[in-house]
Amino acid sequence: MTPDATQTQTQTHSHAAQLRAAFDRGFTLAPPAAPAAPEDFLAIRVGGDPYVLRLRQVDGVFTDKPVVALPGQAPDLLGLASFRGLLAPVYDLGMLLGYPAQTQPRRWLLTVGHTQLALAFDGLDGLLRLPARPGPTAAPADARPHLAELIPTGSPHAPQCPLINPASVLATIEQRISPFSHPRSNP
Amino acid sequence: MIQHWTFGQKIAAGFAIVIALSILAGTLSVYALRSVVASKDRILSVNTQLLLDAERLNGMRDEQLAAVRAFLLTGDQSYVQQMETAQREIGVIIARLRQNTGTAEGTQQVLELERAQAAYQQLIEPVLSLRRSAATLTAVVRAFQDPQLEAGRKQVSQAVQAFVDRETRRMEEAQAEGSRLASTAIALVVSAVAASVALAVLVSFVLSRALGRQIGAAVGHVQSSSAELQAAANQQATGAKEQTTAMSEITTTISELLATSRQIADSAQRVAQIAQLTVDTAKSGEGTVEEAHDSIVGIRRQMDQVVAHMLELGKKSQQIGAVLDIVSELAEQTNILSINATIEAAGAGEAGRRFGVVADEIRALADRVANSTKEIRALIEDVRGAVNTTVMATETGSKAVDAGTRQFAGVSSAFKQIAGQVASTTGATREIELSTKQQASAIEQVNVAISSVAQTTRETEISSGQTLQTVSQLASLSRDLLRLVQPQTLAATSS
Repeated sequence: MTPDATQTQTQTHSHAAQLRAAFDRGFTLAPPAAPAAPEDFLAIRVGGDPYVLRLRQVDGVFTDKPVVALPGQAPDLLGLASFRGLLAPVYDLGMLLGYPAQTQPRRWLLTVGHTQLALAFDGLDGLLRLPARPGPTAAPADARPHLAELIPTGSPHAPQCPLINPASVLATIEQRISPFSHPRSNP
Repeated sequence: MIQHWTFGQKIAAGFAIVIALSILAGTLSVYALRSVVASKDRILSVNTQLLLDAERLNGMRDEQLAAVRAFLLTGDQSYVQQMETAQREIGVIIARLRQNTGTAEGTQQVLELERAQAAYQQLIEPVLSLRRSAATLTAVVRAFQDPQLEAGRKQVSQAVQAFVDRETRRMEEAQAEGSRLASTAIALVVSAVAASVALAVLVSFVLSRALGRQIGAAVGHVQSSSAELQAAANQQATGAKEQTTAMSEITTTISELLATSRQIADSAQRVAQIAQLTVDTAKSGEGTVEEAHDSIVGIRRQMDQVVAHMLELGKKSQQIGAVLDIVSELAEQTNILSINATIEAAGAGEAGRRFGVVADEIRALADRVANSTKEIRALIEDVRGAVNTTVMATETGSKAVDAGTRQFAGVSSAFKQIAGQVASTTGATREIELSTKQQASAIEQVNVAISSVAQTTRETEISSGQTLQTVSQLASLSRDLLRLVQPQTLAATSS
């Protein structure tokens, strides 16, 4: 046998030994945990900035809904609108987040809190299905109100988007109208 | 009257006076000389002759005596012949003396001399005979020493001597008389000469003064005239020189003008040729312009069609855009529906899982439609933008074509004008060419004439220079003449 053939045979035996060891080691390892299910987020734009909401916190998305204005001094209250047979107040999400009022009415609406509240925003970027995160990233201290955390979107334009907390918004509004509100029975 | 005589008459008169004086002096001199000569002649011819005859007589006597003594001593007959010869000569001399003496006293003395000689001869004969007779010498000597013979000999000698003395005295008297005459003549001649000289000096002085005055005046006039002439000749020479210089400059200028005219003629010829070529080119350009105009009209027509097609395309794209809006809205609504379906499926829990899947597929479809709609809208926008750009460019091109058409019309008319103007320019250029050629030939003739004038001017300058030189020589001659005539005037003038 030639020296080349001997060397090749030696290499082959060595590789086979490595594969055998890996196979045996595989049986000793614990089975990997099932991957976490991805979570759906609704990507919107408010005041030109990207934001996200958890889809499970959103009851519905609507557009070009007629909003009936109500007399009042709340500048962020745009009026009332009907959503699948239910009336809900429509608030300006931009103003709730601290953006100034704009003359152009926001045509996009989403309902939260079991259609207790409708929030008007500027535009819908789409649905994001993001993989599970190891841990939440807190929003910065100087972030706008009602922002829970930062969600990595993986988009080169907006790698991290602030997550709007509808519960906080709802609590703020309920707190504002608490002397006058009646509890609504959930369907 | 004398003042009106001419120089020749005055000089002739002066010379005549001098000649007359010279003649007078000569006449006096001749007379004096003649007198002196006559006196001297007489002295020489008579007195001197007598003295000479007397001396010759003495000589003959001595010779006779010597011959006698020699005969007496030697007895030679030749001595007798000599003696006879001497005797005869003595006789001749005595006869001559007798003939020549002019006075009675002289004649008397000659007679006495002749008698004395004859007596001596008579006395000597016996002695001679004695010698011939063969007597002794002593006897002969004794006979010769006879006192009578001696006395006779002395008597002759005394007679001769007396005659000589007398003639000598007479000669001296004649010489004195001649000297007196000569002195008189000399004095007369000297006086005459002095008078002539004085008169001549006077005449020459007067004449020289008069002539000098007149000549001086004339020379003065000549000098002043020559000075003026010299100044005029100087000016003329200067003017001729300046004229020569000016003519040289004119000649140079004319030559340059001639060269320039030839260049202009050549240039005019070239311009005429170029103008002709330009006419031809303009005419061909007219046709080209017409063709271009037709092409531009065709382009305009094509561009109008392009604009119409583009506008049609724009309208179609607008329709597509409207449809896309509807599709986009549908996609949006579908997306919203899918989102809501997903929300409802999530709220439904497990029962809504399959619904959620369908909602996801609808959402995916809506996303695809939205993306496609976006792409189509982008394309439509690009198309519409391109259409707008094309329409704008076409409009711009149409405007440019219109402007070009208007410009082409202007160009065409301008070409026609250019062709007409070039044709007229060609005619004018031909005329200019002809004129410049004529000008060049005229300038050549002028150049030849100027050259002749320049040559004449140079000759004039040369002659002016010669005139100046001649006038200068004339002035110098007048000064020399004036110096010769009136040195004091010249000295006063020079001082």
